[in-house]
Amino acid sequence: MDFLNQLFSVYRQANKNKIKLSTQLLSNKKPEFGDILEIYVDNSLIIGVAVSESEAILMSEFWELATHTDFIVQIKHAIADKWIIETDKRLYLTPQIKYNICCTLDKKDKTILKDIIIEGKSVPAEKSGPKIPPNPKDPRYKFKLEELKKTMLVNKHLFFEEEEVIIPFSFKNNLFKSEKKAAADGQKSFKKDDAVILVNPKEIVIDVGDKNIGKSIKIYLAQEKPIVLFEGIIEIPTFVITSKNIIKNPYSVVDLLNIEIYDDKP
Amino acid sequence: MQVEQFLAEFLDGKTDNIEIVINELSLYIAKVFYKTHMFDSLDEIKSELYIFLVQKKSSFATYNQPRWGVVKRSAINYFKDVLKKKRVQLLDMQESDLSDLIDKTTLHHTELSYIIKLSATEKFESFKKAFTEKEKLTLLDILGKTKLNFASKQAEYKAKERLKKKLKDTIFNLNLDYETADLLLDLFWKNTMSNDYKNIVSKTKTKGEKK
Repeated sequence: MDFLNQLFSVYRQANKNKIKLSTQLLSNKKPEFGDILEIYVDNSLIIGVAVSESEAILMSEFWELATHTDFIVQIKHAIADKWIIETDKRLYLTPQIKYNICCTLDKKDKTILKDIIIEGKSVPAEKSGPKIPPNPKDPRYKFKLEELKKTMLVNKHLFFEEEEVIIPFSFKNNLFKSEKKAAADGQKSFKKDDAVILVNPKEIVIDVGDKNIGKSIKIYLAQEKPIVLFEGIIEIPTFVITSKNIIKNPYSVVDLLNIEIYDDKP
Repeated sequence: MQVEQFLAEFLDGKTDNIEIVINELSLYIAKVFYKTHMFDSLDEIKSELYIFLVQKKSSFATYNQPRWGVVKRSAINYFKDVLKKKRVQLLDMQESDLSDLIDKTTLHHTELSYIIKLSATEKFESFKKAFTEKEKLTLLDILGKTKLNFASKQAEYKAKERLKKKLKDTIFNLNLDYETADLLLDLFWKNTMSNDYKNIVSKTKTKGEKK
């Protein structure tokens, strides 16, 4: 195995390294051009350089696998000092994505990066990798494909729209009155508090309708001490309460389930 | 996680449990670098890890996030360099004359020149073996380094086109980028300027002239 292939095998193994970060320590402070971001997504730490408040470019410490579109830079980071800015890999940040600003590019590299992404200039040859033929066997080509998958962790919101809010909850039988007729064999639908409720064996689907988008909602189980399942603004009108156990008491569940919708915060 | 706690102790200056950190980290590195077959024993990895941790101690100490995952990723980065050194040592033993030739060649990519040199040295033998003696001479003709005499204009055209296609396939099969391919051709030219080749070329010329 030649060196670049060896390195690619190391890269593949390294990608399996899951990093636990404390999201409380992630600032989500608005970045400026050239700021280096530590983006925490799906238990992975992705490094990127900010080009605007909501856009960044993917970076990697595997600079040996650079091609002509990658810009080699030096930064002071605990992982490595030498990195590549993969100018063909963009990350589109949303407020839900957690990140931290750890350092910034030096002035000279910021100017070069501006030239590349704003002026459309090529990456200077002495600070980039070689041009490779489109060869699927080449480790640098394979590396590019793997890196593309990484961008998808951050950019998936561009391709998949969330259709429902998932609320995990474990329904215990002692919470409800026992019912003669079990619900496990089919689904039951109800209408309550201006919402349509569908009880499936392992989930409860609540649809409050598009007209309520933007309003505040509180979904709770009315008990001596109420159990709040969701409280917040309605962005998506469908809520799915999932349960590990089979919901054996659909009528009691709907009886206890309260849905309050307010024009302003409750 | 206990190892994270021991790492924090080490970064605070206590070395009592550093062995546990090194053990854990060495197993991880052995797993990540397994396919490279370049590290024979855990002891070798462990001794490198001591150096790594001492070198990077201050950098990790100031890192304000849970550090274990970052230390592992940083250790991989450190061992990439160890791997590179090992590859170069191996090549130095086998191909010292080639490395010397490469050093005299000016490369376009200064940041990556080391990797391109390494890659070219690794692949040069396979590159040379891909061509027959006759094809090598034709290649020298294409490169403009010598002039071969062919039976006819058509034979020359056919031989050169066939070789150009083979050259493309070889570049593809050896996963060469254009820079390394250029370097190999350059090396090939320098390498074939030995007396043996000069004799073969002059013989071919004489044959052609007689015709």
